[in-house]
Amino acid sequence: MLKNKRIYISQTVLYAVLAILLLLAFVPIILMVTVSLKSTYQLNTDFWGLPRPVFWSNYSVALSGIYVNMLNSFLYVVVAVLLLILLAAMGGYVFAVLDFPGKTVLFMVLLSMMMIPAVLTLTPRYVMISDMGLKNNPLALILPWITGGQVMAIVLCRTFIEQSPRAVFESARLDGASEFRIFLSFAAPLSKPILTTVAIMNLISFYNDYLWPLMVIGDAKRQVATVAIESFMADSGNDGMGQSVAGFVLITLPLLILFTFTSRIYMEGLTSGALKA
Amino acid sequence: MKAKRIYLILFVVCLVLSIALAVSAVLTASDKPEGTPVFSDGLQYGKGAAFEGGYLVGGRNNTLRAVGPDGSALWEDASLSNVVVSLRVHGNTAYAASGNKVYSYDLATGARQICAERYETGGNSVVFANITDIALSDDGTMLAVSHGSSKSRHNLTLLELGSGRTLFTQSVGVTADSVEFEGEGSLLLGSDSGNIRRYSLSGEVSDVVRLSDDVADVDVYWENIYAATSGGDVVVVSGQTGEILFGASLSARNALAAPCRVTAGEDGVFVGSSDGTLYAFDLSLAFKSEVRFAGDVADIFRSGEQLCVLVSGQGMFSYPAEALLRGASALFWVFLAFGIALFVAAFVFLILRFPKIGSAFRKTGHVVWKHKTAYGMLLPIFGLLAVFGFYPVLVAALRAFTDWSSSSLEINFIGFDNFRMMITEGYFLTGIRNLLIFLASYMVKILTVPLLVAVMVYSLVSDRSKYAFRYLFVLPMVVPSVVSALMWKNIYDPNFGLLNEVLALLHLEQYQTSWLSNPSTAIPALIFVGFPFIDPFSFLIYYSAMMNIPSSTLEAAQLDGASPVRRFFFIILPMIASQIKVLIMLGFINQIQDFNLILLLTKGGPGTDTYVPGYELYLNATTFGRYGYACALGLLMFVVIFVGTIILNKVKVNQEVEG
Repeated sequence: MLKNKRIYISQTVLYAVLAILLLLAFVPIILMVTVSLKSTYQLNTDFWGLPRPVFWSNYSVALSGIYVNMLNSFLYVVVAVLLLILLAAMGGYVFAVLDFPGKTVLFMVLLSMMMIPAVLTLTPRYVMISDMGLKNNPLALILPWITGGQVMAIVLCRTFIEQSPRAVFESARLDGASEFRIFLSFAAPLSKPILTTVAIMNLISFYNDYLWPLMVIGDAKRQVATVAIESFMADSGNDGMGQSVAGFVLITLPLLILFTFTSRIYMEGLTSGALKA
Repeated sequence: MKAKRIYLILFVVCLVLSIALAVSAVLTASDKPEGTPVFSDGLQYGKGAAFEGGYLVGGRNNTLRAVGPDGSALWEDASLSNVVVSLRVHGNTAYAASGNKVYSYDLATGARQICAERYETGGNSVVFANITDIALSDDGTMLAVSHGSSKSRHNLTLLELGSGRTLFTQSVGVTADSVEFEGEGSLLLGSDSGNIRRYSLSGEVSDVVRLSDDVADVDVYWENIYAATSGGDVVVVSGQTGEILFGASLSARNALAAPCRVTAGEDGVFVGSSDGTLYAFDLSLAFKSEVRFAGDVADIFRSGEQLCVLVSGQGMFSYPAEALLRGASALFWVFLAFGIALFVAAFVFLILRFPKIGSAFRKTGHVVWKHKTAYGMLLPIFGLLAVFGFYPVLVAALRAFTDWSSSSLEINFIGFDNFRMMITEGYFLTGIRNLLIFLASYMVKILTVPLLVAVMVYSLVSDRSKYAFRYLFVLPMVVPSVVSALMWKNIYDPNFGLLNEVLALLHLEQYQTSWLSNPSTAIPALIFVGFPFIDPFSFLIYYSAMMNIPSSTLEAAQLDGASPVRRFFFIILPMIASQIKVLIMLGFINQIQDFNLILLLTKGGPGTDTYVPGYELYLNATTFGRYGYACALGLLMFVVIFVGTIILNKVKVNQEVEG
């Protein structure tokens, strides 16, 4: 049939265009993987060729150069995310379920923080961290991260808990459970889906942070991976191109693994903030 | 009746006492240890020392004078031809190193004699050149001289006083600013290579420790070595093992810290820093207090229980060492605790006196207590917000109108000068121009390709293909933004870069260039980053919005015979208009602030060609230390973002499908 044929042709064209675009979008990633497996000699003499032989030692050099910083990143990010979801769960529960004087005002105060762009507070926060003697201290990262991340997280949690049945809380209250008890035994487990989203959303943004660690962490041994990789690249120079790009791959791997196992929540985490705002 | 009066009296007494305690707490907190000015004048100072009848002070104007304990002038030697770089006192004699000679002074009269000007090496008698430091043995019989005619020709020489005999002379290799006797049997020398070396009295050398930076000063107390580096580190090194026992970083307290003198005693360690600060530590380098001065600290030295600080342009101050080491905090907490306790007591008495007020308070207290779980759970949230959110906002808003900077302690209100400076200095104008270019190109980028790709994926018939393509187009976002920026830096690399290789492959070598450092290609190169501009985030938003369009609407249009192009413009686009608005808004907010790409790829260069206001703010807040100006930039950007967001918000989005 003519109509079917037209659909078939248009679909084929779509596939072709999408495939080309996809290939172009993946150029940096393909380049990253191939360069990471080549020696400097191979890069110089045969730029377009496949890495033959495969130069795995780039990875061991890169790993020994930045593994400390990757461990730092994991540690700081995990601690910050755990604290953040605790605060988000508490804040979401309090604003969704409890009634107390000043609730609206406090929520407005919380929301007003969303209007504050990072550039406004950057300078005073930087000077404050220096004055507190917190430079080079992981707290200089963790505390501002939590402060910045908690607002959206609380809003998301509040909406989520508000939409869930209240009857559970009411009956627990009638049974004489304290508010904190209700939070721990009912509200927190109930909010697990939204907390997972919040956790992944912030995990990505903390792990990706570059500017703030660059400013407040000077000690190379305590630095996070994103900043360390830049100095690793600068130190390696043109002769160490393969190993610095191997470092890029290593730093990307944790997020790739996270994405592979949680792709739905990962995407939800990225977009939910924007759509609810 | 009587009880009521007593309550009233008790209330007043407690209130007054608590206010008094609060005031004293504030005073102890704000007031650093009390110093006494010994003398004050506007001279630039060099070194100082204490002796039994007063103080010796070397000026930058090639003078040495002695003053009494009250600052009265005793004698002055204005006939020196160089600045005194080192002063040592033994008994009634002072030794001063100035230029190429060491002089001795009779402390009572000020009579000067040349004490040492030559040393023997390999049978020849040679004059000293450019002495950097001297040290005197405890018994006053030996003088160590660190001297050198150039950086690489530096020597350490030990002389016997009286006879003038050279005990040893050793080449050091780099300039060494600090020499000190270590007990009776050895000398320590701190050099610009960061080494602290030990010399026996016969000139045998051994390394003690190597520090990260050049050694500004060394002091010895008991068996430990106290050293300060010009980078701002203070360390305690075991004299026996050379192990670093304790360390403290002054730069963590003040980025400009540059120690000039460290002095250790049984009670603690003091460090004078030429940025105008005196730091006090205990012997394990736990921080105790700091005093800031309005001029460079030229020298610090002990005089009995006092610590004397010589400040250029200010004069000399003496502080009780014990007060510096006490650390004001203990007293502060005591005052504060008692003050609060008395304040609470005062209120209890007030309530007892006026039961009606009491019931009002009781009600409020009762309400707070009743909702203690809610308030308690919100406490950490709002605590963090207050400290790292609202307080910085307040500081930024107020200090944008001041000359707040890292180089001065004073903060002066200067009105709109910072904002005027943005225009006159010019970087900001370049930045605005670039920002507009980046912002416009960003908007074009997110409104075209991701939307187009989303529509194409949406138009696929097979659900499995839809899912697969969505997954693959989103996948690149797992690459951290720093990594993708650096990857693009790699692509633009003039030697190894993909772009130049592609041009070579196409035989277009004449177009090869150093993309990021060529003024005419730097901005286009930055815009081209991320090609083909399928921003996963925008794509996801568009795509999820399209998935939410009821299929009946589209089917109806299809039955009406609407072409795919018409369907896109008249059905899909209006249905996702609100998401487009959100993307424009978020893009606007982020693009104004974001400068990570510029920081990683061009650092604003070549020259200032790729400056943006955010990057200028970053430089002023960090490298330049012009905090007030940085705050002003931040405030202006906030206002622009705020106003822009409000205007964008006002734009009505028509979600209805026109039928």
